[in-house]
Amino acid sequence: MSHSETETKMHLRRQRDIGGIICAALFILLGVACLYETTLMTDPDSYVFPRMVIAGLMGLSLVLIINALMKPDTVVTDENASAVAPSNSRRILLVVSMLGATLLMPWVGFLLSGLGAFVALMLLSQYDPWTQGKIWLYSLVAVAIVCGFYGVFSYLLNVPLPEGSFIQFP
Amino acid sequence: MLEYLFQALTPLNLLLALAGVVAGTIIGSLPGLTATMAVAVLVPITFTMPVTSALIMLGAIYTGAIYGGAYAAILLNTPGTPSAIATTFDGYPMAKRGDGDLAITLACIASVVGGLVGAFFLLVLAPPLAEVALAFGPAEYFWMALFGLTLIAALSEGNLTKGLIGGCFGLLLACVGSAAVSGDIRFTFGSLTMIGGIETVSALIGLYCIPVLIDLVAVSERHLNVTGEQRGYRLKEAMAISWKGKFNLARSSIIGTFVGILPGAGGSIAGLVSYSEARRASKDKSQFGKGAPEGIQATESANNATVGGGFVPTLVLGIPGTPPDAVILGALMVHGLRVGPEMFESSGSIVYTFIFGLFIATLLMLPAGLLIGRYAYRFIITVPKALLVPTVAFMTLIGAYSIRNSVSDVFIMLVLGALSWVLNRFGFSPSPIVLGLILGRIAEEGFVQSWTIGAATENLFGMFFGRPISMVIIAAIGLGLFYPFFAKQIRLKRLQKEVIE
Repeated sequence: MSHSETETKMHLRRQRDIGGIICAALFILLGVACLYETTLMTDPDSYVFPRMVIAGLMGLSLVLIINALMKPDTVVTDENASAVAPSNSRRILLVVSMLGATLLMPWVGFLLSGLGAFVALMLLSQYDPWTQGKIWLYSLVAVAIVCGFYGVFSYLLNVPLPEGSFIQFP
Repeated sequence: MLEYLFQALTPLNLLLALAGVVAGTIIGSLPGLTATMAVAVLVPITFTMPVTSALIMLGAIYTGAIYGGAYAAILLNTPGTPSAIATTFDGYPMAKRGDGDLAITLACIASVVGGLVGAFFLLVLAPPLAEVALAFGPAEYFWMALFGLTLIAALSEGNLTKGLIGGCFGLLLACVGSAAVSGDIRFTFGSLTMIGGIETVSALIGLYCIPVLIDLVAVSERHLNVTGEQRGYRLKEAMAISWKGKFNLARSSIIGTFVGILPGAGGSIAGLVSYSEARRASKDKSQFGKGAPEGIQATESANNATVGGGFVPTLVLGIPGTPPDAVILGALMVHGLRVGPEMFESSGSIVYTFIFGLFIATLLMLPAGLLIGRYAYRFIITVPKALLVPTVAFMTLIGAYSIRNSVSDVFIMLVLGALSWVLNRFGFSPSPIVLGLILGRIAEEGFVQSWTIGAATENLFGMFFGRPISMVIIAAIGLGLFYPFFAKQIRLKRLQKEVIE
């Protein structure tokens, strides 16, 4: 078997759209919750339009589920397949780092939380080995970018960036 | 008229126009910083200037910011401003295949053409065009929003049901927070974070940019693969493509101008409607969404045409056509100018000098935009990933926060970003969600107001279906939805006939 044949086989997988079915089911649940909330509204101006949208969301989600269940399993090319498996842990850590920085913003301020997120993401995105020079250079760039943007937004554009209740900057 | 042109051509005005275009382009290229913000932030600088110079600079900032939004859309799949949403559809695929430089040059040319067309309409047809703005009632806005939503069908090739579900989800997201007409708080489920609703620009950053970051960090490969040597601006190639797409450019610029005239519509809708029309009129629709230059041309010419179009109701009626126009209107008042139809006669010197200044600023955008675009492109392709990812991520945080000075917006942006990544993996593209989110508010407001007026006048049917402009838009919706079906049938019949013969 040639290399390309092996590769093609690796990129083929049997598929029933389970992800689509789960998403559609979650959309139906969301629709039910929103529909319930509309029953608490008294002004028709508030609920007429959302109810139409919710009906559309739930109806289409149901159509998707029925279609997906009635269709036989199909063999499809996995376009996302790549030679090197992507790192899911780095993906999760990216979201966690950014969420963490956001949650910390009111306490430690934008400058420190932003710098923390910057450094964390710098470490996450670096695949080559670190050298002494790289560490210094990248650290300097990180401080310059974060402080530069902070200065532009805070002092030039007068955006009141969170200063933090623990640490205060002049 | 010539004397106004010469007044606009003074060294001070030229310098201010250039400075405005450069500042606007840079601000507009940063995700989260909109054209409105660019104009609002820089408006105090103009208070001490002569009124014509101030207006020229503000117009230049505005036009530059609208164009600047294309950089992030093309290179990072993140619309720098909402006007550049549809630029991501083909701009990013072009950048991914190594044609980011060409995409930026195409965007620059299209923006210049659109800006010139918009300014031309402002110069010659401002008062009659302002009447069009007044003819648009809530029902027309409702149908126009629905017209924009028909683009979902085009964006959901392969799985229309998922596209429509995404559109409904976007419409539902648009309902979160305070209701458009009644003011009721909806779908917050008791959360204070959601009470302000979902801010469109933060949501855009989340839905488009966060998934790119999530995928960027997961692999060691470079962000954009560039093969071969640097090819400069690729101006000749871009000019040839632009000439080939001259009808697309003209049509999109005219659509942009007319949408710009409508108060509250703005560049995002102009871009989406033009994109939809460009796709419908194209001989090869299959390339749209996969890196078709026509998509970029349509969006960028339309959104820059809204600059001139938006000034029509602003100057003639005192009703701002777009949000940046509202800021400029405020600046006009600071300078003691009274807007209205008589302004073209009583302050003709100021108005016409400003319009010529807008022409000049738009023309200056070509060299300035190409130069800034080249540096932006080189930066994105050469900067190490360990610096690119945190820089873009930091910009998303600061951009999402600064729109309403709200940490909640940053939080919502991140949650929507993660959700968008997950949904995308299961075939739910973010574009229909964005369409629903943007058009949802306009659609709801138009629907509820029309419903109320129709019910009060006991002519609900006539209110929605009996008004001439509404009928034209409904026909356009029908054409947009059913044209591909009819075209296919006609093609099949032709083929059958040929086989029989």
